[in-house]
Amino acid sequence: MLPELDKYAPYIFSAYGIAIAVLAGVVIWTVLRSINAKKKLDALEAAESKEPAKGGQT
Amino acid sequence: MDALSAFSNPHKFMAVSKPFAWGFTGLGIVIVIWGVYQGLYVAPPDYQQGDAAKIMFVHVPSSWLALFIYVFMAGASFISFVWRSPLADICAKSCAPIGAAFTFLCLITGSIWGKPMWGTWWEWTDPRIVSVLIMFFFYLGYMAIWNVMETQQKAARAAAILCLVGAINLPIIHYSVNWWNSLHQVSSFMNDKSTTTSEYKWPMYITFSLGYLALFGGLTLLNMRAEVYKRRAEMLMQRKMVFG
Repeated sequence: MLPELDKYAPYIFSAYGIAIAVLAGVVIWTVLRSINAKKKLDALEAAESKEPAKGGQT
Repeated sequence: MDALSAFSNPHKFMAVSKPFAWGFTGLGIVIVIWGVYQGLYVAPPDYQQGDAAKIMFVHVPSSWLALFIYVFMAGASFISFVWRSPLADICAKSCAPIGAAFTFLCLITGSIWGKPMWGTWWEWTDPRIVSVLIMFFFYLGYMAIWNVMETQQKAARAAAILCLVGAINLPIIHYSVNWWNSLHQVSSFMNDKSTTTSEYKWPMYITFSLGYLALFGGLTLLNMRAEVYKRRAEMLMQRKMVFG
């Protein structure tokens, strides 16, 4: 349910809408960046830990 | 001392920062949602500005955070430049996108409030508006330097210098309303002579400030952790390229 506001309602909804969009965007971007960076490092470390075993077989 | 040690050593930082990063981010989200609800549904209209005063609840704290984050970033840049602390440049770099977001929010919500109250979206002769826009460009320039320099060391030095040069703008932003004629009112913090009568004004400013501050803390720590992961990954890849 939308709040009852005076004649400035379009300005207020725009300001709050943009604020929520900007903050949500920063949160999502940061969280995804953090998760992806961790995944990439884990994959590289896993690949590196397998390498000595692979080298031993040859 | 343990906390200081943790924030100067990347290994200790990674060990202790995780709960703070997620905790502050979650807390910030909850406080901001609460603030939006209070601002839109509970706070009464101002006797002069009507409901347009509700825009100030998101605008004023975002301007405080934009300035605070720049001061924080300049401090980290100074430490990075003088002592070459590895975590200090990671910290300054991690603050920049969040500071830029709050500065953008400050400019856009101020513009939206300005149209019904001042009759204009933008006023180039207003020193406060223009000096905040310059700070926004410093944030963007700072981030651009990190993306264009060849090495992290060069980027850290150049970005730190740019950030410290941009810090000259901070007192101009703060005192611009006293030094020149401005559409903005003089600072009413601690000396409230503003016209609004809403008893919700300061509680709302404090609520949004705490929410923004918690978000800044949490997101900066998450960004710093991502940067440490990224640098470790780059180091592993370089080692692989050299040793096969």
